[in-house]
Amino acid sequence: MTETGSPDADPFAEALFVASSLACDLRHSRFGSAREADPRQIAFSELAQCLTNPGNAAGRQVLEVATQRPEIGSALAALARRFALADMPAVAAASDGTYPIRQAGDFLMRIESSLQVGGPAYLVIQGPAQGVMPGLVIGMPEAENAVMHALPESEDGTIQLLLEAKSALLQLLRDPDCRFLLA
Amino acid sequence: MSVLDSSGSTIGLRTEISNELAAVLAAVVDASGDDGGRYDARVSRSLVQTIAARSYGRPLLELAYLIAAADRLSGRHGYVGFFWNMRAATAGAFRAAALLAASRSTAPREIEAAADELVIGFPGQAYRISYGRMPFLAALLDFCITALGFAEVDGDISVLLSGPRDREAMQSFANGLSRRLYEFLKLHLPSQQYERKFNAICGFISERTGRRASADAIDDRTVLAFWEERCADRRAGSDFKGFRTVAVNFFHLREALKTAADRLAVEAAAPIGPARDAGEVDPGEICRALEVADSKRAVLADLSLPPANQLKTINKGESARLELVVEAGDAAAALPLTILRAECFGSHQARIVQAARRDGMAGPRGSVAVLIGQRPVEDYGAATAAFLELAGRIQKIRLALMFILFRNGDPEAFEIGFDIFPEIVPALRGRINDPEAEIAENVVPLHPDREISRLLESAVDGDPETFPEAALFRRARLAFTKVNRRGFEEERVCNPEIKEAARASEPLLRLCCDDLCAVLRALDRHFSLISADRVFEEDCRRFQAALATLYREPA
Repeated sequence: MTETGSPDADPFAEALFVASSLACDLRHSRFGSAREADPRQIAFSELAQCLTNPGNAAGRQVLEVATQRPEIGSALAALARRFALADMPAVAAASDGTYPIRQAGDFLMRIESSLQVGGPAYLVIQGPAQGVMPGLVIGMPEAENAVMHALPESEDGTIQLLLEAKSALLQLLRDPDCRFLLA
Repeated sequence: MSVLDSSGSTIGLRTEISNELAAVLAAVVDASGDDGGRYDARVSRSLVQTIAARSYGRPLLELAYLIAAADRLSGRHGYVGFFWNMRAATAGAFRAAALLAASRSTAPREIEAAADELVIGFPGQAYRISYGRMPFLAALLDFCITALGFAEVDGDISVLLSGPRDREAMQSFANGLSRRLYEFLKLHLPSQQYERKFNAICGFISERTGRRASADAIDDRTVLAFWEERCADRRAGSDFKGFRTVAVNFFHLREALKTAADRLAVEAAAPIGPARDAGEVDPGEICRALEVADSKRAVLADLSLPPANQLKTINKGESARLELVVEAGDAAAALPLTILRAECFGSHQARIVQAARRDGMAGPRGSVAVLIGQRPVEDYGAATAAFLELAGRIQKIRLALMFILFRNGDPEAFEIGFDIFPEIVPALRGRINDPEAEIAENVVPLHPDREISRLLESAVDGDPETFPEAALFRRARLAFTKVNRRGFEEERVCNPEIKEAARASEPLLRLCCDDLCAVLRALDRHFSLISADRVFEEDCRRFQAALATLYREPA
């Protein structure tokens, strides 16, 4: 039984054997258990693409994973800062807990309650009529994970989004300490 | 010691890479793009090879320059905008992005977007990066950030971008990222196991032959003898339990030894002689050697990636049947019995392993013992027939690809025809107005392209009874109508992505077919001396003994 190798083995052959074997493993891992082992792993390029089109199937999938994995959510939020059309910082003074309006540059974001008491509310985003409108709103509370929501398209510079009363985004909109990005 | 040969892949090969690395790589390679993946097969393959050979030093330096240049060019969104503002990372997309950014840039003119490359004039010598290289560098950056985290890598990039953009700064960034990557791969891509395997197999060969291990010393008998010895030795650990895994180890070893020997021969013939220090191996050189061997082995992966994946040329069952043949590459002709043994007894062993897992090592061993006593489901005659049938099916798919190319007026269609029906060559050569023949008659063809176009038209519209090209087209059309797979639909034949997929798939299928034919020829030679049944009988006895030893109850 031989346990040791031949001392005069060519180091080039050894390095190539190791590299070939690892390449084979890596290649087959793609077809194998990798996806089942971690189906929520997202390539960074997918995060970046999500910012350009958060409403399509791939974008929605990324947003869903971002809610489950804080590291992906924070990477997406960090990346969104680069592409942000508007960065709305935390509001200096707290109001009665229903802070309705935030503004940055050409963009204004406000909550409009529906007629039903305790019912859903509208998030209204207004931007320049001719300019680029955001596709994603990100709420970044001080200590918790970011909350993201894809926005519908707009042609007249106004976006309306109906949010359930218990919506995490709505809660953050009422939190003066939460920062918002429109990307 | 675990008696089970744990498997990390669908083809039953034991892999040592971590699930985390596998998931990161799968996420990057499968990232979506325009109507398909973000990165094409060539880029994905290069990424895998670079990681496997750990040869990311030079690419990271290129990446440093490209990031710094992109940051200058792209204004507000910086390097992030340049790298990720496109869905499919192609040379054309990067070229367009660079030209557009350069035309808008107000930055000092130290970066020139030329027709084929970006010329970066930071202090020091001008650095050039071709647009064709950029998709790979983008994939590498994607991999780095996905594996290491955006905050970490972006932090390093911020430092790079805030300082002087000279060679020293670029090298420093590349070294830093290289260290991070090295630490990550040290945990997730262990190479020690393969170094151990290399030594064990080479040691076995040396002992058996009394000589230094060489590619010529590896034959079917050596592979089986090695595996039997390992099965008999319970101290051997779990490195060599699966015959299929051992077979693949030998394929890779044979290739590595052959490449190393060829390289030494070239160096010995060179007037100056070897320049490198003994024992020091340049990862870049390994990567280049790996590229040659691995490109052939990666054909099945390439078929599943853009642009080839628009056509389902190979289904799952066919892919499984081809795995070992393709992995063997040039060794296929030298180790045909090893392939057959791995196919038949490898599957048999996998069933035993599954039964052992199901029953547990402490539980009843009845099913394991019964399986060990049984023969494989498929014998050598049946496996050989399956290979033969698969080769025929691939040829039919290639004919269907020929139809697609004919319909798109692509001269590549004739290449397939020449390969599958070599007997048609003389007749077609006459029709093509062969330049050599014309020169012999002192007539130089003025418009050879026009001749080819005429032939392509004649193939589709001509009389098959009169014109050989039309007869070729008729056979292709017949094959196409019989293929009922995704992408092979009459109404989609002229879609550009289908044409592109056909062009990309054809050489890959041809490689599969060549490898299969090499195995079949070698098996034919072998079984003409000793019948397949006799070899199978003898192997049943040997495998049964080895498997019984391997999976017997611990003492």
